[in-house]
Amino acid sequence: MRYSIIIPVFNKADLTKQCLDALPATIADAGEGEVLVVDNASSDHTERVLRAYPWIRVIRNATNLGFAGANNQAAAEAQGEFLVLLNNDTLPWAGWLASMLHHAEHEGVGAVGARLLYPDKRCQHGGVVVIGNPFGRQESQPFHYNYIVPFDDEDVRRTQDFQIVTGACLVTPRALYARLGGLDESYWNGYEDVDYCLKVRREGLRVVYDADAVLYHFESQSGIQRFRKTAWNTELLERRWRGTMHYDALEKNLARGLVRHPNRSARLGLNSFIMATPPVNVIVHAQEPWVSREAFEAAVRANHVPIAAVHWATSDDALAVARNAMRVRGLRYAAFVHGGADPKRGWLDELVRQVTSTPTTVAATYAPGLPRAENVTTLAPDGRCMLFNLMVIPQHMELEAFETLGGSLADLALRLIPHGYGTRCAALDLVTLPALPADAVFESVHGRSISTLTTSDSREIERIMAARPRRARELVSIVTLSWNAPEFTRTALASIRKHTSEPYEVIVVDNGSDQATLDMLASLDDPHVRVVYNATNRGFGGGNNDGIAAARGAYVVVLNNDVVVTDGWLDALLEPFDRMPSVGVTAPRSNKIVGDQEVVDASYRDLEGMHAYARERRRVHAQRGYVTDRAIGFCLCIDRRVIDQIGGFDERFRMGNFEDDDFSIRVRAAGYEIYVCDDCFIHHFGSQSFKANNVDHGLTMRENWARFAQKWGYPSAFPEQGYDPRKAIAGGFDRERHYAPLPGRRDATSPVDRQPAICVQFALVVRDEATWSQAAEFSRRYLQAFDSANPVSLAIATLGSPDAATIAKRLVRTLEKLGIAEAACADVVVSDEDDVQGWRDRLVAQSVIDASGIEDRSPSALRRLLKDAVA
Amino acid sequence: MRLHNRFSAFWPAYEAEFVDALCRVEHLTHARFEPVYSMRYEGYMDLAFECDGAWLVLPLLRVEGISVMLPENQPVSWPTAYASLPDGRLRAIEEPVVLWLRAATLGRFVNDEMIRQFRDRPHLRDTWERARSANLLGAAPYASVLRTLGPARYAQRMARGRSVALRGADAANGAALLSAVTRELAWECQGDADAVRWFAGLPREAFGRRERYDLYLGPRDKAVPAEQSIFDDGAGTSGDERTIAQVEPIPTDITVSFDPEDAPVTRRFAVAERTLPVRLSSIVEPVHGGGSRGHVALVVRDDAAKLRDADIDAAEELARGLQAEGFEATVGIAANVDPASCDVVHVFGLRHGAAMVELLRRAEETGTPVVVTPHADDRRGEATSGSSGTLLIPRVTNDTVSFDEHMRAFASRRISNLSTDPWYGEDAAVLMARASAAIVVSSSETEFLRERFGYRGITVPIAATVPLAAGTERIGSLVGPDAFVLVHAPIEPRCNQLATALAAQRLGYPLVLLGPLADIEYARYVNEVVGPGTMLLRDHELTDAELAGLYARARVAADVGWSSRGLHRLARAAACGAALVASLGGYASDVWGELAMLADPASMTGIEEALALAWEAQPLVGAAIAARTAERCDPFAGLIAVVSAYQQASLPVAP
Repeated sequence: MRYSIIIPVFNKADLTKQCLDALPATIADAGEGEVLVVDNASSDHTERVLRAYPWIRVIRNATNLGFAGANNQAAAEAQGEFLVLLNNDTLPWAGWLASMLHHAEHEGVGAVGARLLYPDKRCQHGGVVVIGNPFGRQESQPFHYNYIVPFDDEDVRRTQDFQIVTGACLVTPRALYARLGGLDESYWNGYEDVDYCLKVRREGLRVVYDADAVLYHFESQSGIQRFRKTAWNTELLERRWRGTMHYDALEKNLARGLVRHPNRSARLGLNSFIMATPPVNVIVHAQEPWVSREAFEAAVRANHVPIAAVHWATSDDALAVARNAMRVRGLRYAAFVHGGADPKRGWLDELVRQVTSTPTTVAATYAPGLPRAENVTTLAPDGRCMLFNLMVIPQHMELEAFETLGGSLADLALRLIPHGYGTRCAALDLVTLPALPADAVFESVHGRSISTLTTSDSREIERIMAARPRRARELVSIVTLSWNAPEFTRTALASIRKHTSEPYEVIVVDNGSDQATLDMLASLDDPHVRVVYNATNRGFGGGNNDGIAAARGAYVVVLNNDVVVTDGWLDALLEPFDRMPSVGVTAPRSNKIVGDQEVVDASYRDLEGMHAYARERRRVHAQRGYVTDRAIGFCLCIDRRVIDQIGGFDERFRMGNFEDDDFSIRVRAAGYEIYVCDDCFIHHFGSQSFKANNVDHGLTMRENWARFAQKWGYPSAFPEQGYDPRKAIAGGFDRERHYAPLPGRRDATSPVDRQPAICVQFALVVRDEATWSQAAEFSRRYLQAFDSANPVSLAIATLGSPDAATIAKRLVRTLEKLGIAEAACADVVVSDEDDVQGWRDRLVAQSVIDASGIEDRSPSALRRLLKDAVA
Repeated sequence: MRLHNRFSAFWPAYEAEFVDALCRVEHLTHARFEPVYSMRYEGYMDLAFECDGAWLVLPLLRVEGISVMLPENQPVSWPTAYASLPDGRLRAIEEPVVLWLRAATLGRFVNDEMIRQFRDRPHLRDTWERARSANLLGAAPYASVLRTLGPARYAQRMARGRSVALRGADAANGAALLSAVTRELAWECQGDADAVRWFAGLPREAFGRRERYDLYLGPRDKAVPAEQSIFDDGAGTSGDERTIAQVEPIPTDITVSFDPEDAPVTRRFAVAERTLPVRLSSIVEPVHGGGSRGHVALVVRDDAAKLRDADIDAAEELARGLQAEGFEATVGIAANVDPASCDVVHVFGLRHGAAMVELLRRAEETGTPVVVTPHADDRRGEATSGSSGTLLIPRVTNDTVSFDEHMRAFASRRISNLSTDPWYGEDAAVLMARASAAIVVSSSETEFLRERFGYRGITVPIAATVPLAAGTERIGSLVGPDAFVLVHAPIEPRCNQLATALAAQRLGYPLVLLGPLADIEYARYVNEVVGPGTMLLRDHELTDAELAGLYARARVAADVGWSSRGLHRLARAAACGAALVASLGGYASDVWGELAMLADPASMTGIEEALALAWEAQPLVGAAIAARTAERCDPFAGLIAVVSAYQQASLPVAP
């Protein structure tokens, strides 16, 4: 007899009937066999149903022996050469058994599984793969491969070997089944099949997935699987097979050109994000290969991972070639191979597997002498054979010049450790490494040789991480836009003054507001505040860029004017930069904002209540938050280094919307994190400028989506359900294409349709009435020379006699005499000062000119001065 | 400082001053990280502090794996028991510990236990190693520790506020567990000196200070006189003792479980039985006349056998009543009912599958009248989204702050619609369209049926049919001697046990969660958050008398689910004088009026307030509740009404 089909059943008589009805027609071509049904003490009408099939043998149990027990029981009575384990919740297609038996009869095959489909024809089982669990006692987790992929997918239709196939439909030689002890009854209705297949593999036999054997599988029809049983089963599997299961999930995905990307935004790392493996740039360096270049390149290319190009670097240009290969970050990899190495087939696949295995892996290498290389961190790769994941390297971190490229790479890896990224070691047998070249520069800088970095001592890593220098609190520039709605600007500025810790400056960029707003801005009396006036509305991006260009701080906070900040807000926004070196932008939570930043339980009734609420949040959420791919532009705290790397906002988005999305993508693509601080709460009135100016919010959204989609390659239709920014981020930040220049750095030929920001400031100190006469003369010339359209201001500090109010009155009279309207006059700021040096330090223009030292004060001479300064 | 409240049943309760003195970074000696089996990636960590030879062991600090690997948040959450310690001090302790964790996980998996000694002194290492060898909490792997904790975990239900004596090899760990609930604790064990130093902060009375203890736990041959005893020497049971089986633990999915279906049994111990007074039911036994005829098919959900709930109890109770009157009454699922062979089809509930639609079709063909007990209480249309939300919140939150925040948002309906699936699907509309009569709780339900389904048929109001109490007094070893809150329902998001358990825990009320396990993930969360005062019992393992005993001893019966399957179980407890807490959306107030406390299932604080009010009021209103139940839920009156509904449904419909 060729086969014995074993079907254990427990209730679900209808499913059993459906399965049995389909059997005769679908196994007619499979030769002679028998069907044994084990009734595991069903309480429904199963018994009656089974009576209708005289061609089956029924084994009736008084108690439920479970899946394994029932199969073993029937196997003991079976007479077929092959056992066919079959669930009753299946519905076979024609020819399934003949095909499976055909494979099972091949020499060296120990088990054959089938293609199982859901009723909607998506794949339920196309083989089982094992993925590594990055955190948790359960090291490996079996998963259905090609799960819910369409049934006719190319890979689903391919017969291939696996470690494991499901027992829902499994063919195995009866003799082998007996020799292996059948299914292990220690498992509780689950994982027996996994265990069995692993035993088959241990025997040196193959486990084959037969794509031509197709059955519907109405999975999970057996009722609720108790979770504790699942826990028990996985625990048992782990105990039995730990360390021997092969993590083949990635391998299988690699074979398909897919690889799991360590997506930091998705908290549950496993299986969360599959993207195509990008082509890898390989750099061969240090020396000519020991075989011909063609032969070496062929060896290098012998991988599933696609290789974009193999670059040959001489010792002279190795650093330049490497820097160029790493210039654009994003989802990209750069591999380095010493010319004296001997890479074997799959060397790069293994490195990709390693580098994508945990989110804190930035590089992978082959290192000799480490125990259990599968799971070891080394201090740094030395470039003899290694792979860098560029996604997580901040754009400002570049390869430094050392004696050898290996030294540069090892140095970069060491610098990345305080950022929270390490290097994993792969098993050694895929590459033969040459001797490590010495690097005297490296030794002098780091006080140790590169060879000593091959260690798995986590104490050493701990020491490096602990030695990270802390960043001191530096000047913060707060940039806020004003476009009418002056009451909101006034409220925002008042809250900033009250709740912000020093040192900080505020740059208000007025985007062509009405007179009431200008009057309000003119009435501001806050030494922190400078106003940049634009004659027309330069939009969100343009206005903020004007402010950023004028900012002097190590951090720039871009803040809407329709907000009320709260106690400690700025400290909360700055704290993550110190805690997480990879952070480039931080953002607060708010009551009214799109997306995750909105706080769902913000329940206060007035501003007083809001401040109390924000204080409580600050206390209970201290140092908490989350990383994200997108932060809303109503408040962004940006590290100066990020601005240096990526520039400002892209001004093509004009009035507003999607410029913050664009900025976020560029930040992330450049390797920086965006962090939302749970402990920073800012009240947001929401779109007040739009409301005050009757802007059609929906229209600007759609218009700007079109621009955004065109820039980043998304479909042009407006995405009502949102879009996935990871696609754009994966492309990386290319300075040539993505850098958004700030106004002060515009090319002369670029279109400039704005009033430039104030960038020159004349400074005058009035010590007494005698110096005032000179100052008054200068002021008169100044007012004659410039008007409000000029990028210039006059700052006058008085030591008290005459005081600022008196000087202001005298200036007003001067204006009247000159016939200059107040609105048209150039900027003049007068203040009482005790500390002249401090006042000078606070002056924020790009160019500050001491007016008292100017000899030629004619209007034309002053204008020349201005022209020179602006140039 | 982040806090968590998971596995609070296993937190030792130290003297506050002792913790204050030792819990400092300069005293930190060891950290032990144990990744636990979990696909959600949380691990747990034990910290040990030492000063002048005395040790402080703080177990079960929660470590958020993803935050160790990706430092978005502080990854360590402390048990809320240590919330009063100064924030800065805990941050100082976290600093070296987190640095160690981050360095150890850099670029690699963490699948193994990790141990770090922070103060490099040989004698500290020796003491720690000895504690590890002795399987003491804080030094040994959780699986080893949990194996020792079975009797003590079981004893938590009897030890509340009482004097307890422990002896034997597991006494030290047992004392750590029971310290949270006892009034007086005497303990001694092998390797006494080490264990005493290890748990120096635990209360420890001298043996012999009292002649008789409330509870003894240890080997039979070293027993001291006690009101109740747990013998953990595996020597079997005698007389009135109950045998309890402990299964192999798998931290943290299976901690200490006494359910042999969870995992293989590894240990058995004996609990001396204790009789407790139970209250009598106010229900009077009806005198059945018999002599009736006809076949009534009572149709229940397809999953009735696995997920028994109040609707199944009610159907079976009704079947018994009908049978006593002479009817042929059977309870079964739709697929097994042949309308042609019965006179009436009586369907319980509105959520059925395709088999019910087919049954209705056949009933129409044969002209068999259909009567429905709809249990239609999702008047707000929140049952689906509420059930989803109540499961989502523990899933997305890792500490008490974010949990509370989400719960507040949930209570104010600021978590948007999580699921828009209707609770009553098209099958329900088909069923109501086909029904000739509906047995409802009250006119409110009639109104809802009209509004929701356009139902215009006969309605017969019956609150519930309640069985007689046949409770046993022998439940002392099952739930301990204290009064408790009872929730009897399948453990699933719909029934909202998580919020009820947390509310009871905050109030310090013992809670008995009784029922089958319906949702695996939800049950797991419930298992994690329950404290020492919560007992999880599986109803199918209890005898009818024990079940009735639980109803007859419950001080409060609660059902604050998103949708209930009738008031049968609440009424059964109410008949014995239990105070009631019910869902705001249901019909309990139509039956018991102001005597039933109502709570919004979304509001944990609302449930807490309702539980507190009910608990306090029970001595005052218990008799009134019992009397009201006797009046409104009289089984004979109910039976007559049901039969009358059958008769009306069978009358020919006017053309």
